[in-house]
Amino acid sequence: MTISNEHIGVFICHCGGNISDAIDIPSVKQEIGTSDIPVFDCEYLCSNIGQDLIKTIIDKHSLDKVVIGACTPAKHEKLFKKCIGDAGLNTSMLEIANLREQCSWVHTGNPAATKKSISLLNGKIKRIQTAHPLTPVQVTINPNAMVIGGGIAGINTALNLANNDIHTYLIEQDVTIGGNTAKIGKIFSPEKLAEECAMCSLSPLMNEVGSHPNITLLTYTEVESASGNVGDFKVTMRKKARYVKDNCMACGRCSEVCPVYAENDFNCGVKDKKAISMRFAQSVPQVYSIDPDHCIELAGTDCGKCLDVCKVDAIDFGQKDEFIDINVGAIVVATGFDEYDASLKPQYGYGIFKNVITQMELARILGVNGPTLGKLARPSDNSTPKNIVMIQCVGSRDEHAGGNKYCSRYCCMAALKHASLISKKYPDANVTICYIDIRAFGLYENYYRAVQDMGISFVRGRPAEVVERSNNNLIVKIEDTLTQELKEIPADMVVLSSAMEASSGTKQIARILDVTLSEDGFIKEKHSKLRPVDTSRDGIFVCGTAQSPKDVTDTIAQSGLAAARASAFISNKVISFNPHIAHMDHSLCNSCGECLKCPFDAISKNGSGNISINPLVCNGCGYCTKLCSKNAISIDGYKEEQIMAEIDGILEKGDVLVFLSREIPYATADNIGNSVARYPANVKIIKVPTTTIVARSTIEHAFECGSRAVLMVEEPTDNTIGEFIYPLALENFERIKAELGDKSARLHFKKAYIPNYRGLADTFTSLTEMEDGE
Amino acid sequence: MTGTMADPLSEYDTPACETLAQTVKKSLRTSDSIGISRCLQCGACTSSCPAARFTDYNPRMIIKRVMENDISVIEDESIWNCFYCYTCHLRCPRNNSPTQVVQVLKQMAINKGIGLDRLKVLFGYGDTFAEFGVSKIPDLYVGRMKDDFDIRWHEFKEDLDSVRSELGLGTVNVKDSGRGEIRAILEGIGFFKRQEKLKQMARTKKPIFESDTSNESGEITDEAN
Repeated sequence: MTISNEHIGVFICHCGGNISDAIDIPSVKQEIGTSDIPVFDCEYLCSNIGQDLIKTIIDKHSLDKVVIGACTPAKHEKLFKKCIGDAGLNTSMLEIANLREQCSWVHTGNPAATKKSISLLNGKIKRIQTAHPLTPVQVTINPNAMVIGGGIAGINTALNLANNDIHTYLIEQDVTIGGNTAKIGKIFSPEKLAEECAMCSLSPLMNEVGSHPNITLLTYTEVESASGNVGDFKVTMRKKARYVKDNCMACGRCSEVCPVYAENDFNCGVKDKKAISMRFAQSVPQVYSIDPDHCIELAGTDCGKCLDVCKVDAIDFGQKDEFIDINVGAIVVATGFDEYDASLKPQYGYGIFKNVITQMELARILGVNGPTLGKLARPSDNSTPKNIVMIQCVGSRDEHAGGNKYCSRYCCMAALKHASLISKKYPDANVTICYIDIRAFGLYENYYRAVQDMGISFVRGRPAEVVERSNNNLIVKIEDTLTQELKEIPADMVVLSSAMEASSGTKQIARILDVTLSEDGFIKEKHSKLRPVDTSRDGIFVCGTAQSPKDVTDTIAQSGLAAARASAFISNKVISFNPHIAHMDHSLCNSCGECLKCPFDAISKNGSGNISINPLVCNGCGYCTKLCSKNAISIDGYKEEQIMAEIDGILEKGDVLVFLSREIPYATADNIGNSVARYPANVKIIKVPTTTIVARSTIEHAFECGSRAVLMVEEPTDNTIGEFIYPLALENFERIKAELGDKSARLHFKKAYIPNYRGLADTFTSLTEMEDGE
Repeated sequence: MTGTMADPLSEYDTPACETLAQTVKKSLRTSDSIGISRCLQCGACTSSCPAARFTDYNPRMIIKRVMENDISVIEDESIWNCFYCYTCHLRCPRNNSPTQVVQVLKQMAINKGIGLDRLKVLFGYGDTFAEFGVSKIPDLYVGRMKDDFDIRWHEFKEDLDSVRSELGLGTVNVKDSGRGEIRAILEGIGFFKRQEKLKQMARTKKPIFESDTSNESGEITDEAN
């Protein structure tokens, strides 16, 4: 439907020769320019001069709609939209013909390039004539942030956000913040050969969190559920009863009189705390708590000793769990790791032999606030072990069920650190590290060299097993692979460098927040290099060991980035959603409910039977358009008449028409251009949200317009949309192909992968060579 | 696989490939997921191996030689010291299985007439399989394994039936009717013929080559390209 009184202007970019060397721009201007449609060109449309030109011409010629011929829209579409928006136009009143990646770069030296560029521009001119203004849904972003997990990652994220003037809720499931860093005692450092006191670095940060005016700290609190949408998440939490009120002065009288000893998680299960206690002296908040699993008063026995001695009346046995709802604009997940359960490798005897422990347990033993107050003592008899053997890669680099394929990244350095600490304090001790490779990456190599100089023994090999001999002494059986010797190393104590695994809390939070996990169980980042702390959901970020195994140094670096990303997200204030989403014509809808099969749950039916599409959830994939037998749903910006109009403009007899899904397939075609590969100029491309929106009538129209073959290229199954859409797109293709009858051999389907641009170019070429496209 | 005289299993056993590693990977005797090219040379296999403890057999080195395409490995007498306890298979962090690899190497050796004097002790596996429907470790080895694997293993073996019944499982042996079916399958796939041929080879210490098949020797031939 052409609205004749609208003014359309065309702008062509030379791209400094990238376009103009292959395309004869003066003849393009002559060919498409008419008195109604003025055409302009510019050396660089993306420059300030180019932007000013567009704005000036829009004003001078009272343009309503703009067609730009330039590089791929993936590069500057946002910029050009902003430009016409600044000039007072609706941002949907723009079409970009991809004259660089889809024309000048793939048809260099081919005289047909100019002709093709004319058809691409004509297609966009015809298409924009049918376009209507769209208003993107906008949501105001809640200015508050939430950090889930109060270890070093969460603490650092929260402080960075709070210092950026963002009110931040820090949620921790334990009774204090501090996490695993509080347990490890000493930290290795890349630039020093010394081990730093972990608590000396951590404690000031914890106190800063506790007193920061921009941080609301919620400890002993677990996330129960989450709802809402990007920009305004509602998180429901359970704040568990600690049976001690916040007015606790942390004097410790209660703990002194408490008659019950309980396992201390902080000291890896050693029974050295009371049923009313504080995790450790530096806990934040400085509030005691009662362990309901051990308190005998809560179990019904008349005790109440703590109640009697408390001078500030802080004990409250009647306290109940509270449910709290908080709305935030951004969430950072920092839920940390769990140590691998080494008993899953029974050959090493963990849980069977008393003197087999893990590195984390050794860290507690060496810690001055640990169960032995820092004295190196083995569990069986508290004697000081003389021969200590460490086994690396327990549960790491292990393909077997129960193991982890990945390298846990911290354990080589942790073993070296503990070897160094032991060696300094107990010069008579012999420490042997059984390793496959020592991964002391970067500057840590200095530390490795220093530990070697201390006289620590290294045996290259993965031990077969640990066996126990008399007096709870142990033997480690190993092949020294460098000498081919089978060794039986005597040990008074064996320390297993257990893998770092995604914590159970991490997996639970991922489920609640609906963010994707990697196959290794960690929260998957959007892109390992370009978006390392973004998750699969906008506004939700991840850092620390919830994202992958890493040490304290890397965790702090990454948590700073997560804070910066969350802060940048919130400071947008308003989030605009893609306007190219499903649109329902309610006059055609018969409420049959077929569209409720939307794989992204964007469509729902309300109590009165009316169907509604959630614009915040819909990604515009177009699948629902195929489910609707009444043709009541279309994708804004991709209605069939718009695509038909573009076909009318671009197709000439003998052309191959390609429908590319908007993400991977479109980027792969751009990659053909970037890589200066070639395909014939009679291949013409139309971008679609996904190929599910392509209808049989559209394809038949392409054949009528002279197309010899039509190719649909879909997202691969390993991309978030493709995972759901690919099978549906394949089904759509097969159905249309079956319906096409004698023309069916001219319809083709393929999925694309960005690195395999050559494969896509070859497909393009082969389709132009086929007889009648078959 | 044409003539009825041909040993129908050979091309699955020791398929002719460009490299030893490919033959091992492709052989039906090795798992599809075998990680031979991913071997870390960590020695978990050798340090776990009872045969390596008492002889010069070193499964890690066997894998290394296979990776290096060192065909002389099939002439290495030490490969006959593996008696399939599968501990290396269980322990390898890369899903590798020296014990399966060695089985392919042994068959390649037999095809060339190497190691025929070592065959005799292995017939116990096949004989017990034909008789009970499950393969059992020949008695010859059991006493040694008690020493190597510690008393815990021995106790487990002794108590196997009671452990199984606690788990609601029957005896490890296949029932009589099942044994008949297994024997029929073995008959159908030429197992007994093959076993007889191998026994003859062990007796005469001479290889028997099939005349009507080309790749029967399991040699790595250029024709395969």
